[in-house]
Amino acid sequence: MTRRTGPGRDQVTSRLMAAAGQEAERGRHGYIGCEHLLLALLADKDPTARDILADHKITLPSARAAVADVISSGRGDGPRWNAADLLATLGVDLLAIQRQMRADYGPHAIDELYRSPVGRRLAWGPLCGPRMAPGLKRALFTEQGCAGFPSSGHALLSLLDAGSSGLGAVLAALGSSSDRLRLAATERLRPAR
Amino acid sequence: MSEAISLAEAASHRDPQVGLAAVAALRQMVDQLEALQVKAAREDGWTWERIAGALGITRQSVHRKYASRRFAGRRAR
Repeated sequence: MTRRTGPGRDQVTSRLMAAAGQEAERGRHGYIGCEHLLLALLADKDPTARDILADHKITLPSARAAVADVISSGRGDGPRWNAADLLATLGVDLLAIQRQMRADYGPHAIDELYRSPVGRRLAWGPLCGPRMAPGLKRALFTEQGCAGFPSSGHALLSLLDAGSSGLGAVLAALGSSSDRLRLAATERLRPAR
Repeated sequence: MSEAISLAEAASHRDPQVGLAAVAALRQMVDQLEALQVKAAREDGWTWERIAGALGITRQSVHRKYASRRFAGRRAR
């Protein structure tokens, strides 16, 4: 299928979304937020954002530690604890229940439930996948994000403009700030004369 | 010093915040499981009365919770 965007541009957005999801899953954070997009940018094959962040001594290991600390102390953009871990404190195995539901009703039973008349008023719950935090939506689904970021550096700028308090806490823990990084990213992405 | 407290640590100290959050997650999951079963029952042709009876609630409650406009005109058997 032909895309309306330039070659590779929209791939940056989808690649970053997938990587952010993997980072959230890796940390068992139960939601995907701007904090995870920062990690995705640091792990991305396009070095533009990573280089800008490296200039501010932000690396993938240091950022992962800061994100874990911020989320577990309740300062992230999502819930402090993920549903699977919370339910485990009650002796409930969420993964086993999810497996059973998929076996009984099919792999897409939950998605289909939310599209059905029965599920139209149903709130999001633990059987669903991780929820995307509003800040991440703001970062990725800007006009430019939808059209596709030309580079990871442009995605970083959009991330810094998303107004995420979780990201702010992570950057503060790493000795930096959105303003400082925005200045550096804008300077780096300015076309050469 | 890190402010982070692990969930296991908080749970072991019976932190009410963990207990309440766990109960909230459990309630949300039960709602989802109930909806899955209601959907399956409707697809199998169950009436709202029968579903309500199985859930131990009134027909009105189950209808209010799950019935959409699509089902509004459908007569119970």
